[in-house]
Amino acid sequence: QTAIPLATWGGQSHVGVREFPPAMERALKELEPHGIKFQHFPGGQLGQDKDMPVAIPTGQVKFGWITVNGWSGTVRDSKVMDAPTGLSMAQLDALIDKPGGLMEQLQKAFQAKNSVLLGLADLGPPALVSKVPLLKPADFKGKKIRVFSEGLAEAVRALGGSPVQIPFADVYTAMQYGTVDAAILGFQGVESQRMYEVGKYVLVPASFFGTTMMGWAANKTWFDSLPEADRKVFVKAVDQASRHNRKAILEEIEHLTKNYRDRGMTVTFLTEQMPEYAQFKTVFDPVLKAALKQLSPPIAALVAPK
Amino acid sequence: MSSTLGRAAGLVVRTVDALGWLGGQFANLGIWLLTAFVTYDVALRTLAEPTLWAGEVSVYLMLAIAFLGAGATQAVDGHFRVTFVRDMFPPRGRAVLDVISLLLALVFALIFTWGAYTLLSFSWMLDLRTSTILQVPLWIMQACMFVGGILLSLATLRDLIRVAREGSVVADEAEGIDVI
Amino acid sequence: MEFIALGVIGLFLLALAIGVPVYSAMGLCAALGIYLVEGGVGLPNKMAVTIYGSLDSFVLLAIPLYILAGTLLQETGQSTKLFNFAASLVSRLRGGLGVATILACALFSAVCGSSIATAATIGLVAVPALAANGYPSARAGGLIAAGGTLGILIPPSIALLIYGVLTDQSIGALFVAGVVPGIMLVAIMALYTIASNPKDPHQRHYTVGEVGRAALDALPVLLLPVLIFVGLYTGIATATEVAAIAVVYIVTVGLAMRTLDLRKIWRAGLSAAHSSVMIFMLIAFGALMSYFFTITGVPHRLTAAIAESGLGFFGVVSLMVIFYVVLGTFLEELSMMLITIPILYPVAMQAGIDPLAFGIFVVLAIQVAQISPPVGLVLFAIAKIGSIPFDKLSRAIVPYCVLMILMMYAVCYWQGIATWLPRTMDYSR
Ligand code: NA
Ligand code: NA
Repeated sequence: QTAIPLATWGGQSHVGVREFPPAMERALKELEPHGIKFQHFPGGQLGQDKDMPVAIPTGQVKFGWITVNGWSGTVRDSKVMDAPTGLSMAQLDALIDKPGGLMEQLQKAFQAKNSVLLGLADLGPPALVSKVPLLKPADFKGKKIRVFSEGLAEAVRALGGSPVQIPFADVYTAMQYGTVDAAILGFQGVESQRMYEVGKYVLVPASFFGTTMMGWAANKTWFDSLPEADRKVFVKAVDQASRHNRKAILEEIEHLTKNYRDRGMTVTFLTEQMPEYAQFKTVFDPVLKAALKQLSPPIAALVAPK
Repeated sequence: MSSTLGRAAGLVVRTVDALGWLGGQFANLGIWLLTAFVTYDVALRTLAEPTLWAGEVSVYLMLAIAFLGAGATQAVDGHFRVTFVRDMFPPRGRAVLDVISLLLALVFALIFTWGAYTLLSFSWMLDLRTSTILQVPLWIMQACMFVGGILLSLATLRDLIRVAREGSVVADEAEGIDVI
Repeated sequence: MEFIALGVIGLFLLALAIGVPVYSAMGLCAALGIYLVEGGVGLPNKMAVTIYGSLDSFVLLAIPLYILAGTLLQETGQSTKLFNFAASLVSRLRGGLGVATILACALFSAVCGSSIATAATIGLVAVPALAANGYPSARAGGLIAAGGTLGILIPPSIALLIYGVLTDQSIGALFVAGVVPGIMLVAIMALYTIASNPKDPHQRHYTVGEVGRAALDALPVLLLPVLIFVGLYTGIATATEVAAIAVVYIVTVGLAMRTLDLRKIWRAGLSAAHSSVMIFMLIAFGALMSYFFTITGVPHRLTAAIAESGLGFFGVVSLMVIFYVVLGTFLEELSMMLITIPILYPVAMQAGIDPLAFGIFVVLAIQVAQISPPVGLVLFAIAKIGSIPFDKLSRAIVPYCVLMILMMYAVCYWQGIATWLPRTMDYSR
């Protein structure tokens, strides 16, 4: 009997842990009532987010939940998620699914690293949490800002701030004691890291800080060794469950926004209609151009400004 | 033991001692560099010009210390062992237990070395890098793990040779070596 | 699976008994176990990935740095001065130096988030000083291992941070929740030390003037925690980074006072390197052992069994106590939290335990596991660092384990111990 062991990490209430595994189990039951056994190893028991880009290609993790952004060392084109495109979540969603789109392109790149990318779900752009309002590019001058990738470091530099690399675990205390003036982290991280205790303002600057893309990937050697019928069911189940997850993310962002506001935070989503959008765009145009040069041409073409 | 074999064994012991010494010196240097990097990072951040490399490089340095130092620490019997059961046996029994436990340790050191090698060659083949700001090739740190495995195997082999030649006295004396 | 798990545990204990180095025994038994569960394909590679991943962590940096601070304090002779001062302060108490050791651990815990780093650092300083004052090494080691557990109870704390992330609890509130139980534990341990210890062999009463002189002598080292506090709470450095600042401070003071030269600096570095490597290897191969147990699914099933036991409050709490202490023999602290919390947290909630109180309960449980014989990371490290016979240390630690287990019950029955301070400080829940 085929067994599919899913490795996840992070808190129990993260939308990717809460929504995907049950949806996947349901989908498998529906598609193949007796055939496939689903196992879930939560909480990073088999590997943390940072371990996946090695654990999946080597087969230590057979099937895992990943953040695509964290794969830049394994699949260079993952950096596309950090590109300051300024696209909205809806625009990105359309790019994922279209023929020859992000999903197809990334799948090819993952294959070359002995991995199979089975599903994607956009978590939305990272958020900036701060104690004082940071709204327009000029506000960033001289501010120390926690980043977690080279792309974000570039972005902060372009805004005139100083990027600081601080591990996720230290973000709370770094904000509390003022080691940094602001921190960039996932929008959901504001809740899970209790940032509302140490910050007052949240800015979601469209995807000028790139976006956070979750995915589900399997070890290719293991995947190829499965019976063909099971493989088909597997692919279909991940597809269904990841689509379910996308819907849940959108609902959650709405819910979290209300939640943050109830807790006294000021939450701002940057949209094309706002005057600051144009200011950000001016700052980020050269950064985007440089970022696109680092990507392979078909992927760069997908997100390049029209 | 024939004299040629004896000389060869002696050479192994001396070589491993030298390598162990070298590994120790490297780990020592590494720990001071680590202090320097972290301090430098704090200083520059206070001056609002934070480095993005210092924290990351410190972790790689720590990995190198851990792996390259492993053999050196074995060479001074610095790894923790539970010895009170063994100490209840007479010298002959102690020597037998020492040989068994060293053989087991050697088997493990060899598997570890082999694993490090397969991981290293895998990372090399697929050109895997750290998904961090510096994007450092993973094989560099994994090579340290491989070399550490070799040092660990050699240090265990050295202990085995010494127990074979001198009996349980070796391990008895080793208890006295001052790691800290 | 249960048989494989039990068999591997048996082999592991046997390997330990015949004197195989602990890291080696863990690695070999884990390898055998993984082979039995998943087969031999890619086994060495899996081991390498796990070992590499377990050490590739920024948080671990604090360990070598704090240990270096400890070896340097020893080389400069500052540790002796600190103890002379501590001894002078509590010279009228029975077991005064023991109490001083516990206080030193508590003080250090307030700047260090890891119990192994706390125990190792104070151990480096305190074992020689206690020995010089006629304390049997096992008694000293027991004190330090127990005191080291304060490292993750008194904030900052790596374990509480992970608990907070796993259960979506306020990390700030959790840190504050650790304060009262931490202070209580300090008091209980100090009382036990006073009650159980005979008069210190070389004890004499100090005059006020002598206390003042001892304080002045120890001033450079007494300023160290102040410096660390300032660095941490003004946001100049993170909890990990302050360790490096401490090293720089000790070197600067040592060179200025001519108690340190290049030879001593080099020697301190070498000692610190050896100790750190030993601890790293225990962490790495402990992770491998944890990986093996995870794939057997046994801890998961045991945890689920507690959830479904249908016992009353006392029964559930007792089962959890036993479970953590036993499981802690074979899993390192992070894995233990990752495996048990997702399942036991809802059980605790159902039993009516407050999330903050349960956090403290779990941290205490993990600490007991780390210091209880026959297998415990902190216990091994202290035995090695202090050259303390393991069997003697194992006996000396038992009373402290009992005290801590009683404290675990106390936190469940009087949850205010953990919840009162965070509520008072108005952490919105
Ligand atoms: Na602490
Ligand atoms: Na234990």
